[in-house]
Amino acid sequence: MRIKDISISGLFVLVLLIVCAPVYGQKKITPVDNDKTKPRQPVLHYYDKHGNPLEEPVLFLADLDTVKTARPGPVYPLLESMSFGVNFFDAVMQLAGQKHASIDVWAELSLHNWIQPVVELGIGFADNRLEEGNFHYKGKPSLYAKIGANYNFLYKSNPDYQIHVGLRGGYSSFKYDITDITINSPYWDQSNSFSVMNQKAHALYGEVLGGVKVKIWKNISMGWDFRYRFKFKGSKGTNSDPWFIPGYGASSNISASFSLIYTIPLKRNKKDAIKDAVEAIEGAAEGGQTEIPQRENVGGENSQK
Amino acid sequence: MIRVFRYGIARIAAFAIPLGLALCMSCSNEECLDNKNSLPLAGFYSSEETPRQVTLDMISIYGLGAPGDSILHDSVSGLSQSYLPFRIDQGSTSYVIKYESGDLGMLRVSDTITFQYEIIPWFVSSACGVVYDYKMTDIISTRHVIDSVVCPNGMIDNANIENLRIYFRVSTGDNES
Repeated sequence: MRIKDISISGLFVLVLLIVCAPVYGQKKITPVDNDKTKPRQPVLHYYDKHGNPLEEPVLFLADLDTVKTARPGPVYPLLESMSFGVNFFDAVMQLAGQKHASIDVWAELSLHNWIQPVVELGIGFADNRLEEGNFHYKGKPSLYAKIGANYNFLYKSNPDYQIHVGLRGGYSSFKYDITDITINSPYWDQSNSFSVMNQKAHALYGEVLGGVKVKIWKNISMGWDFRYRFKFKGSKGTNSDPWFIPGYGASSNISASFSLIYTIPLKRNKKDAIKDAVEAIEGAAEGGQTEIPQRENVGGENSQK
Repeated sequence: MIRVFRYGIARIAAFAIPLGLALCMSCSNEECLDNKNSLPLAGFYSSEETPRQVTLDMISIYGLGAPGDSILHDSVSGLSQSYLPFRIDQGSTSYVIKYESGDLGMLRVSDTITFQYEIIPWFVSSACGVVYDYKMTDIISTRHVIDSVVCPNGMIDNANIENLRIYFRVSTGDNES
């Protein structure tokens, strides 16, 4: 009888422990107000949008400057800006002794500050006379054109600063003369001098490039690219392999470009953006909503998201 | 302040990197990997069914009409190849091969080869310059010891290769040429 009493009381304690264990194991949770319909309270701000401390904290109702969710899409409008540039890298190279030059102007449309279709139009010429050479190569000024696009990796950042890669396809039809040719045959003690004139050729080529763009002052920027070039198709002159192809260069596949750039912003101006924002707030208030619309880019510097 | 400094660095880099590039790229030079002239190079072969390269003993080679009767090879032995530069004032060049060993020498045997060609000026590259290419139209030779002469490619340019083949009749006995 005594043994039975002990076993019943032991069983009761065991059941009590099993029932109460989860209660003791729970975390202590502080309740949070998750009522989205409740009007939001103004927040004290201690820093300006650049991260500099304010002299006095400011109380206003705004979205906190924190990332809620990553936005995969573009940040900037479709027609973000139009840029025009002059590539004068070969002019610098000529000062360093290069015997040819391709100088071009180009136009670029920035779509969402992301994809940037580009058209380049230029003129190329050459004048090559080597001390130990037996010729004088004169590439007549000839036009070339390239078309392609850049991909801006910093498409969510300030458009004034870009890191991009790109592709180009180029074509040129050009003429050149080879003069002052001297060929000797020492055994026969003979020497011939002559010129090969009016050589014509054309070339279709491609480029893979990567580079940067940096704002210098107001709407003026500078940009440079490394370019790897390769020929798709090309013709020869009647008596020559063309040494220089306008827009492509001479014997090296690797080149570069260095451009002075003027950018015209196509995005809405500050006044329009503020007006739209005010209208959106008023509309939301009338509809009983208190959500502040996403702040538009109203010019100036944009923080990376 | 940090922002201004970072953009300042970017601006300096935008100027300095292309200038550095310009200096580096201006240093690169082209090289001519072939000849700077189109020099016909003749190889000597046996006229057997399976030709093999042969060396000629005691021969002299000279161009017909060369200034000062200049001789290319004068009584040399162990010759298996020879450059035969062409005339550039006309489309024909003749060479004499004089055999000076053994009975051939005693009998003063020699062969004459005449190459007929078109001269085509060709700009190869900045490093190699302008050369003459020779488009072969005909090859005529006497056949005392020579069996035949061929230009396998039909064209001689500045490539550093053997572009003529002269096949000699060779004996299998002691009098091998």
